[in-house]
Parts: sequence; structure tokens; C-alpha cells
Amino acid sequence: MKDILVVHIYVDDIIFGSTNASLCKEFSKLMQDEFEMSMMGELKFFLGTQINHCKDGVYVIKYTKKLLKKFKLEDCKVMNTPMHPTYILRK
Amino acid sequence: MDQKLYRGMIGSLLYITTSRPDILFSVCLCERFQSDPRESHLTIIKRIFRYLKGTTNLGLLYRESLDYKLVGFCDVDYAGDRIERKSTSGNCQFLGENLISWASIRQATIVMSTAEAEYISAASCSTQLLWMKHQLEDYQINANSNPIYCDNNDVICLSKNPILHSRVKNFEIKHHFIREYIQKGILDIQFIDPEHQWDDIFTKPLTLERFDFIKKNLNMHFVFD
Repeated sequence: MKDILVVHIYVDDIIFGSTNASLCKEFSKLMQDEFEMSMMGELKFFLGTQINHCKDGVYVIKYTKKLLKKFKLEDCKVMNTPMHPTYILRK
Repeated sequence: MDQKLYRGMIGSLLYITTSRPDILFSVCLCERFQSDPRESHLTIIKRIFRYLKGTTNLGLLYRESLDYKLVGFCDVDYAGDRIERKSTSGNCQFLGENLISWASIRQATIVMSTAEAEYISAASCSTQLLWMKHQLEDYQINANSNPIYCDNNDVICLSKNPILHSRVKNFEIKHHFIREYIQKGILDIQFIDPEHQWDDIFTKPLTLERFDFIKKNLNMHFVFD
């Protein structure tokens, strides 16, 4: 199979990845020559999503702490599951 | 009861579900009461936040691999909706061993049998799978006989044998398109035992043990810095 390069653009944010690292380098050079842009390096944040690199692969994590603060629930008691297995919601 | 607060919470949680399949079912369930929420619904939704508090560092793992095989899972909770008695479909799709798409959908029609509910779920799973297959073709990746795992033998037999049985006359024609793709060899429906049906998490609330087991198999792990 041929190597592929995937580029994703959202307004002024851009991420790209490839099956071949040299393609990535070539693309970033091409972009930097053409446009004024700052290379941030390895992907860590994208549109509010945190990306963690580790030896197994890539972890995608959403920030939930801010959300708890927004609804003033930072001090709530922790639960193991999001819903009780036998609870029935009614109108 | 503050309706604005309830809707705000739903909106925020829906955003979180784009990388948290574990809370998808509970959020979708609460979402249905948006038009007229009660205190009891607010208690339920607060529990989701309490769960999130304990799992802030839960991440979805994507392993590096060159495996481009598409795999679909489909399941249903028959008449799970207590108000209208509609069924809930749960679908998820993997690319190789990485989870790339998931859905929890209340079916639009009320069905008379579990087989019919499962059949509708299998059909919606295959539409998503076909769409992904076409996306992959853009990158010159061709995959045929993509497996769909289903825990209902009736559905498997129905979709492999393109005869119109008198018992299934009531099935809407649009759900029968899956047969065509199975005959062409693009999709391949297979049996999976309910124990390994990961879609349980998208169709009903689960016990802690089962919930954690499925979460692990959807590649959701705690990340420690």
C-alpha cells in the first residue's frame, strides 16, 4: 500500500499525520515556505481535546474539570457509573 | 425547575460524548426530557457529572497500526423506552482495533419483535459501515466482507436468505437493503455471544462490573501523567 498523508483544517487550526514521517516533514516545510505559520510540533491540544502520546499509542481526552466548575459541581460525591442499572426515567 | 440549566447541562455533556462513549447512553436518555424536565431528571443528570468527576483522566486509546479492517457491532434494547415503548439501537464501528464511531439511537418506529428491532439496528450499523468503507476508498484502501457482529440468530438468517417470509412482511422495505450488501460480499454478518457484545453500553444502564469490562474493551483507559 502507498503511504498517505491526511491533513485536517479547521479555520486557522491545522493538523496532519502520515504513515510515513518524511511526508510530514516535507508537508510542514512546504506550508512554512508558503504561509506565515508557527509550528507547534507534536499534537497536544486540538479544539478543546487533549491528546496524550505514550508508548501504546495516542490517548484522546476531553477536559471535564472545567465543565464541573461551570455547573458548580466540583465538590460533588464521586459515582462509579453514570446511571443506576435499574432506574427508570419517567415523564 | 430551571429549564435553562438542564438544557445547558445536556449541551455540555453532548459535546463531551464526542470522545466519551461511556456516557453516551445516559446523556441521550436525559436528552429526551429536555422539553419538560423535572427535578427527578436533574438528579439523574447530576449523577452523570458525579461519574465524570471520578473519571476526568479517562481517555480513548488509539493504537498505531496498519490494520484497516472495518468491524461493526449492533445491538438493541427491545422496548427499552418506557414511555413510547420504542427500542434503542446501539452501534459501534472499529477500524482495526481502534474505536472510531459509536451511536445510541432510539428507533423511530415501534416494533413487534426483538428480531425486527435487531434487524433495524443491523441496517443502521451497515449504513454507517458502508459510508466509512467509501471514505477509505478515497485513500485507496479497499475492504470487502466487513464483519458486523450481531447477537441475534434470526437476523443473521434473515439477512443471508433473500426470501420474503410471510412472518417478516411487516418489516419496512428500507431495512432489507442489508441483504443486497451481504450477497455482494461487501458486508458479512456474524454471530457474537452476548457476553462480548460491546454495544450493551449504548443501549442500557449497566452494573459496575459489566460497565468497566466493556469500557476496557472499547479501549478506554485511565491516563496518568
